[in-house]
Amino acid sequence: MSQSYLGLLGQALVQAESFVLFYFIAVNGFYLLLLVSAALEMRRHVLLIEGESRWRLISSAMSPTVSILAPAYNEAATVAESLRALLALHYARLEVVIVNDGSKDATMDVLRDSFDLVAVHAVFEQVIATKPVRALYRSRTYPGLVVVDKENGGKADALNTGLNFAQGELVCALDADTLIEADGIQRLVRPFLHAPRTIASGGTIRIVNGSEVSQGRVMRTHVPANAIAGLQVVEYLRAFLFGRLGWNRLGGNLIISGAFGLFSRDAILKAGGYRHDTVGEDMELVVRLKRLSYERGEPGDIAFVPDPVAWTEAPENLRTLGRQRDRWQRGLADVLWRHRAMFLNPRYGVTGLIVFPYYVLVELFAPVIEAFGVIGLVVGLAFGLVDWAFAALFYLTAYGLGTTLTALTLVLEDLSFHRYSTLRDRLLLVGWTLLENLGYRQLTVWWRLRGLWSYLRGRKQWGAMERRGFVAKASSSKPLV
Amino acid sequence: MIEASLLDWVLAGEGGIVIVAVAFYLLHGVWLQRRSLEEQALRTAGRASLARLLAPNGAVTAHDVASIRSLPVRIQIPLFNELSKNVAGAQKSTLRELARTLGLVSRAKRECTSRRWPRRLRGARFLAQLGEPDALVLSLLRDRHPAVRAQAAEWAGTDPSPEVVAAMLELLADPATLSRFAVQDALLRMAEPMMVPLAEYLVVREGTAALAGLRVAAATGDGRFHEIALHFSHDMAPDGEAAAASAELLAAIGGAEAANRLLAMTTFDAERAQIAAIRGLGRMRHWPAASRLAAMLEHPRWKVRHAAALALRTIGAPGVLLLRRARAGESVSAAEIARLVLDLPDAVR
Repeated sequence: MSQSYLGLLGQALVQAESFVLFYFIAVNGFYLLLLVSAALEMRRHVLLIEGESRWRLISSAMSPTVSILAPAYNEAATVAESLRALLALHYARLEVVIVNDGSKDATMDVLRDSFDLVAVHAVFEQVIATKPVRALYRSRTYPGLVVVDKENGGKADALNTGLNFAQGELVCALDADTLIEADGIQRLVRPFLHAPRTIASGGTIRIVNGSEVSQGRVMRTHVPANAIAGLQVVEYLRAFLFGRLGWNRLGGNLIISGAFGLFSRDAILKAGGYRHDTVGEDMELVVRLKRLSYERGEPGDIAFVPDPVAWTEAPENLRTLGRQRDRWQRGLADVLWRHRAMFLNPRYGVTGLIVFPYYVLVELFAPVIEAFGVIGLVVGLAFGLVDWAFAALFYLTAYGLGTTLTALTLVLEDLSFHRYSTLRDRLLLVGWTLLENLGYRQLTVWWRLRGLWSYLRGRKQWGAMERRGFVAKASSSKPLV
Repeated sequence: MIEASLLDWVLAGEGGIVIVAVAFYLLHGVWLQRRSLEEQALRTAGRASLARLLAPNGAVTAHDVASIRSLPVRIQIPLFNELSKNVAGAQKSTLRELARTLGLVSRAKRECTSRRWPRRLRGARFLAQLGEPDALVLSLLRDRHPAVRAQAAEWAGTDPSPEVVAAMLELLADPATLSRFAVQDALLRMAEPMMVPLAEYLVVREGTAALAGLRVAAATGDGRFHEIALHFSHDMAPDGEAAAASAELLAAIGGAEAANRLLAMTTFDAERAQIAAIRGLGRMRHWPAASRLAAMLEHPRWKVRHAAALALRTIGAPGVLLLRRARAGESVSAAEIARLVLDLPDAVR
């Protein structure tokens, strides 16, 4: 009897492992396609910007006006430096709207003292409903600075408040802890000039840990020696340089990072602004914009540009990183579920038929299938139903393919922007690339599974985020807005 | 069943690939770094030679020319590009002459006729930055690739012949926004040579092309566009974009007729045009319009109220007086917007 059960189990396992193998080959095949697409796109982009002079864009009366929306929550320690860096960005037609989202610390006092603020009567057109605005300030020394003090309502609410006050044709949504390179906005504006149907553009996010930062600018780039941050450097390079860049040619992006993205203000306002009831508000907005563009027959191109760079601080401990990944996965699941009508729906063109299914089948369910495959292998090995050599070969192939993809991303980085130049940095990058699939990847699978489970149980909190701060030796712990 | 030897082969293969890849990556890094250091040294030497050649009282010495000639072309071109942006007049002429002597100009012209767009773009970029006039620009203004057309527009600004201006005006209707932006910017910087052709162009155009042209005209504020501005101010298209641009133009030109027209436009239904007219009256500091603007502080649309309040403030004393009255008045909406604008610091206009 037990023999027949084992036989059935064996057959089921073989079927399941065959499915996992097929899925694995299909996904990696698609990754390779993305990589080729990214390489072609990178070549085109490098040729386009080689020797480019952007002074016309900076100084022309014809350039689009840009409003930066920067929500701040309990940022007293860093807000002045971050804001000075924003005001010093190399773009003439720039407005900075900083929204104090009911901070409990001295954020508002620091802003008042550092930027010569004067309170003005806070009347405005509330295009999008938000939590009440407590006060509105303008600066006597920085005409382009608008400071809004409001009751706490979360990041989405703060961004919506910023949208109500912004005057620019384009709005750039930032995370409070993001450092933009001085020419980042000029570079991010280009897709709006290149293609009239562009409604959003996103740039590359890189990890600042290990680099030298001064006055809100990254002075020297380095790969962090901390393993957790270092592994994320490799992960971010792969996500941005081949993931998002590759999609430019294969149907457009569905994600613009909330940490650094530029949007048409009219398009966001028409769409109703950011949603409060999701942890993936940045992705939700982009998917909604894309969906509405199909439904209303309006422009809806979403471009990724690899050269504008913003820097963000990566978590350096597993607990915080786990919470972050858990949240990302919950956000992804929530957004894909809300817009499930797009799945394989020809009404939504390439987005409905290729991009959306990719996010569902690969980004959302990959951890489930990966975990399923690993558990199946372990069970099979335990009961002697799977050949150990097959299991080893499977793992080696997976490891080899994963590492090759990351290594090719490093080559892409090397041949394009070449940010990490010292031997130490290169050795570290190689080291983190080789180590990524030995434990770290499996951990991310676990966190993502946990995120999915939490989503299914209806959890919607952001979770606390511990940060070390950009300034050397500074140590602060602050929740994200 | 899988043979154990296969596993060994795979393991050995992957190990080999990893070792080769790591070695290649590191060696490539070393090569890149060495090349970067070498290029830096060559650029420093090249910059010093070029600086001597371009010094106000400096004489062109054969030694310096030879030292620049000895540099690889991949170093010469960025050096010339870098310097071109920062010099003008006699120095730029010397630079152009030197580029011709070194064969860089003829090389760039050859690139402009290449079948591959990146080369055409590179050639046009070099010649544009150097300000080297050439008839090639006309064909590049009609190039297939929008980036090349945009670059050609920048280049065309350096030698605005009537043919070039005519070709650029045609690009105002370009569906690619990049070239349209470049043309608008180049026309604006060109100033005088494009005024009459643009005015003539606008007489017979409408839609996107007219709007792009009107925006250029508005930025110049030249009186020769007066009739055109009046003409487009009657454009009642629902989005009001053309009328709005014409309002900006009228405000920039000024005069009693323009002010009267702007006053009439404040009653438009198209919000964009209405707001542009209100702003225009403020920009002209047309105080006789103050009472009309004060009445608009009670307008049902917030943007209109806001524009009217800002315009009153810009007008000066009479406008501020009316704002103060509105602040103390019975209309809540007028009082609120007046208070907001009166509170604004001087730096904020």
